[in-house]
Order: sequence, then structure tokens, then C-alpha cells
Amino acid sequence: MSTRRRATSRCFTIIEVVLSSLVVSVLLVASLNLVSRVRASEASMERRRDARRMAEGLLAIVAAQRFTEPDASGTRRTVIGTDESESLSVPASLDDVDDFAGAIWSPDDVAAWIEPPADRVGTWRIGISVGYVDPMRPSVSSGAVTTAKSVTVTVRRNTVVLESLSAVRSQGVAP
Amino acid sequence: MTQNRGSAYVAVLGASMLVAVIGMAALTAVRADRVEALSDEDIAQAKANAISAGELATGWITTTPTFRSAYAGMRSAPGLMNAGGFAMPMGTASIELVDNSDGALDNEDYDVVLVRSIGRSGTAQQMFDVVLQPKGIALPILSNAVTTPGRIQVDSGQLEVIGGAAVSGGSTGSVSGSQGSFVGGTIMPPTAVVNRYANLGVAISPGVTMERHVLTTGFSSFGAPSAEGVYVITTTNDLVIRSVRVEGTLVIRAPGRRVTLSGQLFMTPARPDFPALVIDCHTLELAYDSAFDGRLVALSEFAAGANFNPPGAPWGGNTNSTNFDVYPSDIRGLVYTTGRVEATDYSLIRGALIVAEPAGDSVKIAGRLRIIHDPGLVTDPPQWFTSAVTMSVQPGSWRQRVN
Repeated sequence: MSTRRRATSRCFTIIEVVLSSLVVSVLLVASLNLVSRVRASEASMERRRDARRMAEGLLAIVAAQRFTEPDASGTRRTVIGTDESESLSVPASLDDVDDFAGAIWSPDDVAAWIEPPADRVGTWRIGISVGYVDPMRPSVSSGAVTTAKSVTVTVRRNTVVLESLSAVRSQGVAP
Repeated sequence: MTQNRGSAYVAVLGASMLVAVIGMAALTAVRADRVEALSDEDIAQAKANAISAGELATGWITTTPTFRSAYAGMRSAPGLMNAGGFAMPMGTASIELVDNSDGALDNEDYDVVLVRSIGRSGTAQQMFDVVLQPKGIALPILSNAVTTPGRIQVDSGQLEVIGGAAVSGGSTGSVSGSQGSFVGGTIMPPTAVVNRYANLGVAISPGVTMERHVLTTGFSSFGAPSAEGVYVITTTNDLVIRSVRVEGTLVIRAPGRRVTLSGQLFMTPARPDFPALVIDCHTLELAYDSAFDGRLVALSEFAAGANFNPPGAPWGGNTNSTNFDVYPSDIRGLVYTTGRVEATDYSLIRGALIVAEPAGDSVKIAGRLRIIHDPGLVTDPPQWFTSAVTMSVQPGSWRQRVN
């Protein structure tokens, strides 16, 4: 009798097994869900880091250009956009701040300047806008020609804005 | 028996707790990562704002001659110089102008200006400094070898100018080199220039004769040296200066008196944007000997019985305690005097001479005076001998500042 009781006590009851399996199942589903979310979040953060790195790099490239380019007669050009013999499809041809206005590039277009993102899935686009601002109130756009230009670099992936950085260049000496 | 029952629950629940804790930790780590990434974005934008603000301030200062006086009023007005800051396209920024030389921005055009910019975005803040240095635009008369509104009279000997004209209200006698007429409207340095330099200097009291002395930025035979190399003599007596070496600017205030430079001496400014001599007197007599026209003349330590390159006052990079060195005997740089000039020996100036005395024969020659114009006076004019002062960024002075 005592031998039977000992044997019975060493085994799980069917209820124990069922409930344990239930808990383990719920745990497994929750764990897989969590892992999936963590991985997605990490990937998203990595993409944002890449976007910020590219935006910072390109903003530095644009900001390092001269403020404007004189024409053949030495007169300062005031129109925002590319000048003669320059094209947005040839980024290396751009040599003043406003030449970059309206650029929409893939990371491969500017691979000579910035390292492309690690995640190549999806459509990455880098857009640049340039416009005159009031040098005494740089948040205010100006329709007139001024001595300050605002440059904004926006990095998108599948049309979602991941990063947007802005700087203002003035006709003073660049850092 | 009952102790063993339910052990599966305990094991499973224990494992569940572990997995749950690990999961929560992972989620917390992801959240922290996300916060850090967003913070990095703010830092990048704040940095761009700080640099942009510094550049905007630089642009404003370099194109606004009245920036020193305008700044105080702009601190309370909306816009770039507002003390509370201003909006950028993304985020905000603020600017502060600092005059580290005397703390007062608007009292001196030649004080260096430190531009401190702060950029902000979200909770991030970044700071940059940049130094703007003054540079004068030379008065047109600095392209002349000699300028005086009075007349030049050469009684005997010769005035010789090389590389620049002798511009005066008229001349008689032997003047070699090009000449020009001093016309009305010609801008002369302000008479306050003497006191302005005097305010920068260290006072010395040589008595009626200054002899066997050395003055440089690192050494003064009168005592404490002047870091700018500016030494000031204020006297009510006539003054004679001979056998001296001055690597600096000598300011002499002897109104109504005669100042005589005689024997051998060597004077050159310590700074290219300072003159060699600034004098307020009745008559400056140039009676010192220089080497030209085959004359062998030098400032000799042995002859003078003095050491002109003691420790702290190197010549050609060398100092010693002997009396065997020799130096040129001439004045290099700008010489300015409010009174008249008399030249009675073989004297050489490698720079320019400005004689402000407007009446009569303001320059009288009874010997030889040779002036070789220094074009460096035009490209790097002495302070206050300028028509305007512009500010420009000191190369390499952009610095990120950390609290």
C-alpha cells in the first residue's frame, strides 16, 4: 500500500500536465511576440540611425559649399538652383549651397559623400530644400534675396520621414 | 505526498517568471535605445543650430560697422541678438557677444569679440564659440613715405623718399623721390591717437635723457615689461634719447617740448599693427645716425657699454650677457608726431613719417633724412591710423564648448 502511494505521488496528474502545457503555450506565444517586436524595434532604430547619419553627412556637405557662385562677369547669382554646367543628376558638379535645392537622391546617388544605409530593403530617398530666410529672424522664409539661406535635408524610407535636419548658412565665413 | 503535488506548477511558473523578466528587460532596453536615438536626433539638430547661429552672428557683425553700439539695444528686441534667443527653422538658438579684453563691447573698435552661440532642439543643447578679430583699413596717407599738411623745407642736405611720396603743403630745397600735394579733406589720424596708445602702455620715467636702455615685450630695463611692448614717457622737459633698443612702441607725451633722437638707436614695433613712435611734442629732432650712402653705422653694445639682448629681450632669437652684439641703427615702422620735425643727421626710417603740425615749415631738413616706405603699413595698418575697422573670423577659432 505504501509502495503504491509513493509511486502515485512521483507522477503528475493529468490536470497538472494540462495546466502546465497551457501556461507554457501562452508563454511561448508571448515570448515569440516579444522577440518579434524587439527585433522590429531594433531594425527601426537602426534605420533611424542610418537616416540621421546620412542627413548629418549631407547637411555638412551642403553647408561646406560657398554661399553663392558669381557668374562669368563676377556678379553674384541670386536665383536658387543649379547654375550653368551643373546638374542635380551629377552631384559632384554642385558647388554652392543653393545648387542643391530640389535634389531628391537615392543613397547610391551620393555614395561618394555618405555611406548608404545597412538596410537596403525599401525605397530610401534623400531630399534637400534650400531657400532664403531673414538673417535676423532665420525661422522666417524670405521671398526676397537675403544674406542667409536655410538648408533642410530630409531622409525618407518608403515615403516615411525618418530624419530631417536643418541649418542656416550666411554670407559670413563658414566654420 | 502533498509536498510533491503541484511541483510542475512551481517549475513552470518559475520559468515563466524568468522569461517574463527577460522579456521586460528586453523591452526596457529597446525603449532606452529609442529614447537615446531620439535624443541623438535632437543633439544633431541642436549642433546645427548652434553653428548656424554663430555663422549668422558672424555675418551680421562683419557687415555691420555699428554692431558694437547696436548690440545692447538688440538684446531686448526680437530677432538674432535677443537675449532670450530666437527661433530657427527647427529648434531655437541664442547668441552672446563677449569682449574678454575689458568686458565692454562698445568702448573700443580694436577689441577682439568672442561670439558664443547656443543651439537647442528638444531637450538637447549644444554650444559653439568663434573669435572675431579686428582689422583696420589703412588711411590713404599710409601709402605715403611722408605726410604733413605743413611745408617741407630742406635748408641743406636732402630728404629722400623711396617707395612712397612726400606729400606736403609745399616744399623747397632738395627732395629726392616723388612728391604730392596735401589737399584739403585728407584724413589725418585723430590727435587722440597718442593717448589711445598711452592707455595701452606701461609708464616709464627716464628723466631728461634716455640712454642705454632696452624695451621689449618681455623685458624692460625700467622694471615690469609691457606685454604689448608699449612704453609711455610723460614729461614736461625736453627729452634726449640715444643708445637704446626698443622692440615695441614708444609713446612720448611732451607737449610743447623738444624730443631729440640722437647717436645710435634701433626701434621697431613688437606688433605689426602698432607704430614704432607716437609723439606729442613741439619738435621732434631726428639726429640719430644710420647706415646709408656708404656710412658704416650701427648700434654697438660695446660702444654703448650696454647689453641690448639680455634674457627676455632676444635679438635674432638669441640672448646673452655680453656686450659684443651690434644692431642696425634706424627706426622701422610708423613714426607719428603732433609737432614739427627737424632732421639734422643721417637718419633712416623704414616705414613712414606723419607730421601733423599744419602750420609753417613742419619738416625742416638740415642733414639727410631717408625714408623707405613700408607697404606693410597699408596691408596691416597700425591701430587708429585707419579709416574703418572690419571684423573677420580668426582662422581655426571655431570651438565646440562644453559646460
